[in-house]
Amino acid sequence: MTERSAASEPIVQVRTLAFGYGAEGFRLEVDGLEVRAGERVAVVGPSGSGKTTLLHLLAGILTPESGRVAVAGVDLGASTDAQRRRHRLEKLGLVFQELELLDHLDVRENILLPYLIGLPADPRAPARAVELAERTGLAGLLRRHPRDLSQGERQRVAVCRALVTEPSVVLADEPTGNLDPSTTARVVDLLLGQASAIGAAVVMVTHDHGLLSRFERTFDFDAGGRFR
Amino acid sequence: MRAWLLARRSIAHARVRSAVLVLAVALTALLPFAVEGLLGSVSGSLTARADATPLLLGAPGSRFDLVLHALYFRGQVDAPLTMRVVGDVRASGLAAPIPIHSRATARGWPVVGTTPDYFRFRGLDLAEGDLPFLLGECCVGAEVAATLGLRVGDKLLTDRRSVYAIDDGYPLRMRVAGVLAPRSSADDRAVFVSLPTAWVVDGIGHGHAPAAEQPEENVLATGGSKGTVLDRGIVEFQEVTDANRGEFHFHGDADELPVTAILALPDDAKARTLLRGRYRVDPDARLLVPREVVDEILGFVLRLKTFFDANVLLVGVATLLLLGLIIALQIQARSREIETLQKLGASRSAVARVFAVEFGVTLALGLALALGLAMIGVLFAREYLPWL
Repeated sequence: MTERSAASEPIVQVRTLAFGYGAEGFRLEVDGLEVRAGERVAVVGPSGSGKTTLLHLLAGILTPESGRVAVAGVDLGASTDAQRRRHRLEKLGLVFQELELLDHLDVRENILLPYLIGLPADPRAPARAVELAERTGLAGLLRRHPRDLSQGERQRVAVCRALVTEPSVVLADEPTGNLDPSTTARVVDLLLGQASAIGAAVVMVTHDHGLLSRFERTFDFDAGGRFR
Repeated sequence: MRAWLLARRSIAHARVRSAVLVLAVALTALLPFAVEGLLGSVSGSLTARADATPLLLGAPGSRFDLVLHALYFRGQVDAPLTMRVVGDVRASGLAAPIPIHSRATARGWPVVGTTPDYFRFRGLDLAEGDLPFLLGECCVGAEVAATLGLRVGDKLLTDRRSVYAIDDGYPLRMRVAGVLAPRSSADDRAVFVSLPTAWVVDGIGHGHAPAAEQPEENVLATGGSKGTVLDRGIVEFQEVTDANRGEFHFHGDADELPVTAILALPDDAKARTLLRGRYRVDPDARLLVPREVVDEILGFVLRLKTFFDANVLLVGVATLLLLGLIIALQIQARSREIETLQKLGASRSAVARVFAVEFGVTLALGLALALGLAMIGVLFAREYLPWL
C-alpha cells in the first residue's frame, strides 16, 4: 500500500461479502476489501474465480446475499435499485470486457452516453468529451461509428466514456483482453493516466500479470471464489 | 434522458428495418384512411347539394333515381312530369319552380335543359360567354370544357341514344355560348341548354324547311283539319342558325311537354309544409326532400361500410399482433443494448422510454405516410374519378 492511499479514506469498502448463483452454483466470498481514493488496484485470478462478479457487486449491478458494500460513500446494500443505478451514473466509470459501445451512436455520442441515459445535462461535458478524445488520439474520429474503428480505438472510446463524468471510481473489467501487448500497454497507461488526472480510484480486472507493476496493489482470487 | 436522440439515431442506423416497419403500418392504415376520406368527401358534397335544394318534384318511381338524376345528373327517371305541373306549382304561389329536362348526352356528358333561374339558384358564374338563352346554344360546365377543350363559339354534337334506333331524333350540333366557372359540383360535369333546346335534342321538337318548300313526295296531305301533313322522312335541321331558328317548332300541347324533374323553392316554412301536403296525395307527382333521400342513400352506404370496417378491424388487429411480435423480437435482438444501458445506470423506465419513442416514431411515420397517401388518393379520385 502506498503512503498516498494509506493517508486517504477508503472509497470502496467491502465487509464479509457473500454472493452465489443459486444454491449449488458458484459462490463468491470476500471477508474484507478496501480501496482508497485515487488508488490503483488490480484484481487477478483464474477464469471463473469471480472477478467480474466482484466488479458487478461493486458497481451495484448485482446485490450481495450478505455483507456490506460501500462505494463512494453509498451503502449499496441499503440502496434501492433506482438509487444504485443513479449512483453508477454519477460516481462510477465502467469499462466492460466487451466494451459495449452502441453501434448506432458515433464516437462523440458514445463517449457522452451517460448524459444521454440519465445524467443531468452538463454544459462542460461536450468539451470534456472532446478533450478526452484528443488526449486519447480519437479527435479525428468523433463522427465515426464503432463499426468503423479498430479494436484499440474502440477500447479507447470505452475508456473515454468511463471517464467523461469524472467519476470517483473506475471499474474496468479486462479492458485489454483482446489487444496485442503494445496496444494493451497504451490503453492501460491511458486509463490510469486519465483516472489519475481526475483523482479517481481504479479497480481493474486483468489476466495479464505483466500489467501488475502499474498498480499499487493486487487482489488475488482463488479458483473457488475466495479472495486472498 | 435524450430518448428522442437515441431513438432517432437507432431508426436512422437501421434504415431498412425502420422503412419496412413504417411501410407495414402505412399499408395497413392506408385503406381505411382512404375509404374514410373518400366517404367523407362524397357524403360532404352529396349532402351539401341536397341541403341546398329544398324540395324536388318528380313522377312516381324510385326516389333515389329522382334525386340522383335531378341533383347530380346521373341516371334517368322512370317517367317525366309535364310542364303543366311546373305551371301548377307556379300558380300555387307556394314555391318557385325550376324545371329540369335531361335525357340526352353530348359526347357522354349529360345535356340538362333548364331555365336561367337554375343558374341563379345554384349561384353559377360564367367563366366566359353567356348563358344559353337561344335555341341551339349550350353552356358547358368547367370540367366538360376542360376535358373537351371547348371555348365559346365551338360546336358540340349531341349523342344518339342508339345507333340502331332509326326513329331517334337527329343529333343536334350546338353552339357553345358560355363556359361556367368551376364549382366542384355536378354542374361542372353537365352541358346546360334551354328547355326548348333539350326538347329538340330529345326529338320532341324539330326544325325543317317550310312545307311549301318540301319536295312533293314528303307531303302526305294538305288542306285537312291538321293543315299540311309531312312524311317523317323529311330532312330535319341538325343545327340551329339565325336563318333557320324560326323553322323549329313543337307539335302538341305546350303544357304536355316533358320535364324530368322540378326543383321547388318554397317562399317560407309554411309554403314548404303546404306544398308537401298538396303533393302527398297527388298520384301523378311526388314531392321529396332531397336531404332525407340522400341521408337514406348514405345510411345504406354506411351500413355496407360497417362490414368493411369489421374487416379492417380484423386486419388491423392481426397487423397489431404482428407488429407486437416484431417489436418483441426486436427488443429480444437488442437485449445486449438494453443490458448495456442498464449496466451503465439507465433506469428501467428510461430504457423503456427510448424504445417507446422509437416505436412511437415508427408508428407515427407509418400513420402519417398512410394519411398523406390517403389524402393524395382522395384528391386524385376527386380530380380524375368524377363518378365518385
